Amino acid sequence: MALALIANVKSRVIAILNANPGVWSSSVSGTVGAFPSDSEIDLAALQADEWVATQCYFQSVNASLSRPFKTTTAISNGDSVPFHHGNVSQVELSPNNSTWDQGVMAQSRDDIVQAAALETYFGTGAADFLYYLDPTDGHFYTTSPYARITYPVFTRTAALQCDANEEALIADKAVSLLMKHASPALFAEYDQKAERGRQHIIQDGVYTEGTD
Amino acid sequence: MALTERIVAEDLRQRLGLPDASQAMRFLIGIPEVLKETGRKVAQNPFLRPTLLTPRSLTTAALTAGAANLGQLYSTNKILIEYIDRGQIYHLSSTQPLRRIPIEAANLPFQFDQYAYYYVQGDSLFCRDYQANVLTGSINLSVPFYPATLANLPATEEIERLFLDKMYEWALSNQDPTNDAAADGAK
Repeated sequence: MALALIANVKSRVIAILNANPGVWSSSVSGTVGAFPSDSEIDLAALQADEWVATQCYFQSVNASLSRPFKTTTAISNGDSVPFHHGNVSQVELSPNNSTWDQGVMAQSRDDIVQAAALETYFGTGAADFLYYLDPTDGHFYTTSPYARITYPVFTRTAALQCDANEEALIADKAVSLLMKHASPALFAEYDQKAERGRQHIIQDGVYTEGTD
Repeated sequence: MALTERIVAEDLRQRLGLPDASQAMRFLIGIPEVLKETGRKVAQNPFLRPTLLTPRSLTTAALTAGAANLGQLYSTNKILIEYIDRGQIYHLSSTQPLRRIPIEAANLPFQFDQYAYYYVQGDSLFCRDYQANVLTGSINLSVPFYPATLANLPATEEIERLFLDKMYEWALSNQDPTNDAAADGAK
């Protein structure tokens, strides 16, 4: 997918802020105390980008929009599930670390604990296809010698990571993050637009400016 | 096709109409017991029996004072003691298998003047020659045994189906103790 560009978001944010006479002057400058500086707008854009990813993409129907943010990590019996947003996407198990199979969620943690203890009773490796994600302590249990887990997670970088289609939404959210310096009334519209955009993405999987 | 634990769990899930495989452990735990049941069913059936006989050359037991320890054969070779008379037991002194006699006849020499013989008493299998002299050395057994693991279950359709039917019966047993999907008969 084509990624949103921070330059596009930034120019839009500047335009919006500039469109409110008395609130913002003709250029972005760190020397104008009450107004957002250049680096502050950059940061707001990155934060808005993160907000779109974690609060919109990861919350979309079936987490369908979270695909570009999925990470796969090796995990062992008893490990904590790595930090992630939303639901774990899948767990794969392997007896040999080369052929991978979809794991089956057992009914309880005891199933796994007992399977490990009783392997000599019903056959070594018999329960290698079972795992359990304990919702009470966020731990992972399996009798399989190798396991890996796929989950959505967002790691902020110096560039935007959401789709270019979301540039308008990112800009709206960035404006709402920056409006602390001004009268909320002037920018409340953008705050509301960002929230409506979020609802659109969660419910419909798409966001198109102007449909709200 | 050889059965695996996962195939067995999935077969039962389908038979029972369960929505997912989260209860797989419930079925896995029954496999060893049902393998033993299947071994008994196979031993009962003269047509299937040859598929689960211990290999004569590999299954040996030392004789101590003319007796072999059945408990050891059970734990090591998984023989089905109750079906031991459905197989053959050999001793070097004879080309013929030993004949089983009832324990009441154990001390009646010359009743079996053609064959060496054996009888079972408790956990011991006593071996005598045709003159009721104690046999020495060791014996070789080709007798019914049960598969200790799924890998040991013969990969024939009849036996696999028998096993899966017994598993199904086992899975249902908590709900309906009278269920007998595998149609057991007495020995």
